[in-house]
Amino acid sequence: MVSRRIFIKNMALSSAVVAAQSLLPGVLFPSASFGAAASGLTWHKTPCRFCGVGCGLLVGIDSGRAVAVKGDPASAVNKGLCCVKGYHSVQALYGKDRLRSAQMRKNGRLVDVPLSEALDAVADHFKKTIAAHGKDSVAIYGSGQWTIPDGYVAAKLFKGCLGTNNVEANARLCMASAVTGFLTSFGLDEPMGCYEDIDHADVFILWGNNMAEMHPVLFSRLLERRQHHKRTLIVDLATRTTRTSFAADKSILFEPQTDLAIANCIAYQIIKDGRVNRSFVEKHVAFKKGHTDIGYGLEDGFHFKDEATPTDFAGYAAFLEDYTPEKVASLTGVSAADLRYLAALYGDPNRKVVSFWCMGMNQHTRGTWINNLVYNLHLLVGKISRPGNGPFSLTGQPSACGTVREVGTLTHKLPHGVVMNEAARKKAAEIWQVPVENIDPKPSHHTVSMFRALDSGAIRMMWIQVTNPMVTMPKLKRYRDAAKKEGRFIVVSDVYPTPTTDIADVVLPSAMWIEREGMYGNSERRTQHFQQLVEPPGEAMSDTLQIIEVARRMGFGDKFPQDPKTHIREIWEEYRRFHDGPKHGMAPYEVLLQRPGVIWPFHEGRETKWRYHAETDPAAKGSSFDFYGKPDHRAWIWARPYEPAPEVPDREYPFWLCTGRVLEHWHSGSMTRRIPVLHRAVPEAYAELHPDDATRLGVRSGERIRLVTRRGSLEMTVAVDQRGRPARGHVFVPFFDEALLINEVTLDAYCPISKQPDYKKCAVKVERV
Amino acid sequence: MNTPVTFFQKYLLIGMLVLLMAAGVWVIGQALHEDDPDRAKTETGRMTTPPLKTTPLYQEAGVFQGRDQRSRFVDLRQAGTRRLAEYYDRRAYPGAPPYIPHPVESDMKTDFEACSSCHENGGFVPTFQAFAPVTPHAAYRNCRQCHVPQATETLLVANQWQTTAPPAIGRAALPGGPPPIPHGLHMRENCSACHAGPAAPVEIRTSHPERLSCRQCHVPAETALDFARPGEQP
Repeated sequence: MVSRRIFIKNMALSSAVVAAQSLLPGVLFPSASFGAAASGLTWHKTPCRFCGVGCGLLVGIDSGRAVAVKGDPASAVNKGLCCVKGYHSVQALYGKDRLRSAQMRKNGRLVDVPLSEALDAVADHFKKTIAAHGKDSVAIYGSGQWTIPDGYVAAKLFKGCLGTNNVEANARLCMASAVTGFLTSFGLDEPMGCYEDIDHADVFILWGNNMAEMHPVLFSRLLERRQHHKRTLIVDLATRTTRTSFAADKSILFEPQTDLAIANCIAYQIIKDGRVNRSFVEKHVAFKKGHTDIGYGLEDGFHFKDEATPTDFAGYAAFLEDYTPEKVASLTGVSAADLRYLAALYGDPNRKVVSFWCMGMNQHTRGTWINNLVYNLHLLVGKISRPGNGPFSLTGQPSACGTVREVGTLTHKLPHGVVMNEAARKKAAEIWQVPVENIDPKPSHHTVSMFRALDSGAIRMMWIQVTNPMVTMPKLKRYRDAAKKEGRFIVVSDVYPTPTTDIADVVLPSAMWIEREGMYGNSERRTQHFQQLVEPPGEAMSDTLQIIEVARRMGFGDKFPQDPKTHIREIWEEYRRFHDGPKHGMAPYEVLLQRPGVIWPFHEGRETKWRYHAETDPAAKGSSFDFYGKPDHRAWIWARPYEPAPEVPDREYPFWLCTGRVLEHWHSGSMTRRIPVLHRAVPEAYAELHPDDATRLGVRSGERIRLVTRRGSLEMTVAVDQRGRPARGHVFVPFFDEALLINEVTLDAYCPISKQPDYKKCAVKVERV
Repeated sequence: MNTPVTFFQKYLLIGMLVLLMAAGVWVIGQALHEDDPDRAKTETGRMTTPPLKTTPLYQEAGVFQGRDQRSRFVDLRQAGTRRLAEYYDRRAYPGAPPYIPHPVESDMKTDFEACSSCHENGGFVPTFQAFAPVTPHAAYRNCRQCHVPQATETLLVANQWQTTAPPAIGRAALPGGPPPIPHGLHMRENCSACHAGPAAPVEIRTSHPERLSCRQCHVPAETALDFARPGEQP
């Protein structure tokens, strides 16, 4: 990646320094960046700002600035190791163009205004919009990077006070299928196990998950396990060859969308090999089927509701007859031998198996189904809820679990339960001290629908916090045009200028991460607290306080704590009341302060590392497994068929287009691209092609191609055999680059159950420029 | 020209084959055996909750780690010209993972094999006309998780980052005394990686690489405070 020219230049530069040094031996030449004195350095714990792994960091603070990072050896997540993003995370606080002042659009241009004036304008506009168009004409769109208090006050203001369910978060684009997968199979969200499973497992099966780049610290734990435990196997099931494939013991490539057939085939083979754990299945599993012709959500106003119909083991086995290895091999491109091999790994009673997945399975028009189907495998063989055995759904964002899923910042959710449930509404109204009638029993818009409503005019005003939808929405042009329509009012809280602040009417400068106090919740149900360690720049204010300030201006001041010193603690203690009890108890504030994270359910002073088994979970009844999330205390195996993707390559658009991330950049890049070492490592997006396709098209790395889909076109540089190698007939493009917006051409089809869009599959034409 | 195989040679060959097979059986047996205790451990230990670690265990773990490695060095007295300023230039702050300042073979791998061929034991690399610095944490195998090459010199937006000055050198309490260790030891337990051998920055290269127990004399400075009896000021 480093060109020889730059390298030689670097070498020349450093030899100049060396030459100067040799003139004055013993004198240390500090680089220009070494400013503050070392004397006052103190170290403070915090979870990392970036991904859902939730590494514990120690941030070095000196003279009021963050100056260094080390991994927290006391953290059970990362045990002292970070990745390059984590080590350089604190540099994201200091980009030169940090937003320090509020801005309002006047005569078409954003101009600086005092923060109080901007907050007045936001509150005023909320009141006017609701008066003119009703309560459901306003919305808030947050993210899995919201801290827990941010999401909590947002849900309370919108659902409890304003009475609208127009509360969504970008986790809909990232974790919704995982949630519906958990709910349909187990009745309760989030993994049963924890990262410690890695230290006990023999086999790791990664389903469409480039863990080496996306969850690098956990992947290092897998590699460490393999070093110390020789029979460890890592199997990479993917549509693209990546670092994970090279590091794995076996790499299996499959055709996009056919993971559904692969999972069913493994189940077929497990039954055929007689590897079903009969006593487990008889005691703890129920069999269900749902609707099969369910659509793809492409039409405005699309609606779908699934229903569970009971079936039994025989019915399920008969359903699987369509998925013999030979039939599935031709559909998936995976050999029958490899399919049997996978079944043998899952079925072997002497091997403990952990399955990992993230966006490959979640960003999928049958995302809920494929989540169900992988749970099926673990349930058939009874490898679940025990150390080293379990399906493990990884998250992408630092608090996708903690905030969006646990606080429930989704249209149908409340901090405990769903809006459709009367008891849940009553409980929320009681804790929030609002009339129960305030809480609307009908969910309104999921994310894609919310942006479509912005287009139609049903939603007039939207407040966007900690996320960058003008980079990350699929079929982007439609939703950008919608936001820019006459009569729409967009408020954006962020830390840097982005394509989303570009379309804002008001920009509020946010205090980020350690510039305020907060909590994140990671993939393994671990809640982690961080203190304010540095002052935010200019007038920047935390998202929590911004919401409280607007609530106060709208007349709801008495519903929210007002003391900036204690408000986070007060919010946490109020929020905890929703989750009281052994199934979801959260640690008290004091415990969070002391420990590098606490796994919930936290009951009577103890963490619950493995749920649904009496030996490890105080909520489980009896002496063994108890899937208490479902009324029948059983986990549900679902018969879900293979169905093709909505848009498949054809004569006109012959390639698959897949989008994703790179190790160095966090999502839309607004933070990591301002970190020198990360930007310099991957300065711009590119289109990966298979070497054979590149030869056929007559292009080489560094040359230009045009990607054309039915939504639009985009010119990019080709990368052959650099970061990854897509299969023949595939193109891969990372989405972090706001100058090369790949989402201009992606498709906004989604899983009808989870409403999560599929960013991994659409048809594209590749032209040489 | 083919020489006919003599009787004696044939027997020698057969004998060697038998020996090889025996060795193979022994090796496999060892490997299987090695596996057992670990497995037994996870089986019995799987239900117990490990105690919450309050003090990290890394403090003493690497005291003698450098010893084997040092004997593998080309020549400990061989001197490169790397300076401390260059060492810190590659890092965002003292203790940060350095970027990769040279072209890399492949961007598609975690690169342990490629990186370790030069950075595990060090030595002169003719391509770059330089001695390769040695990693102080060779056990970590996903090198590219923390170390990234630089494809460009330009920035998207300037950054106003400042960090602390690196620790001063030679802070011995007494003239000629052994200086304490001014940095954390986590992932940097192997002293000789950075302080001995030809790639060690000249300012911090030890004058006595033949001494094997570094921390017999050099101790970490864990606190800046002096001793005080309970309830009294130092």
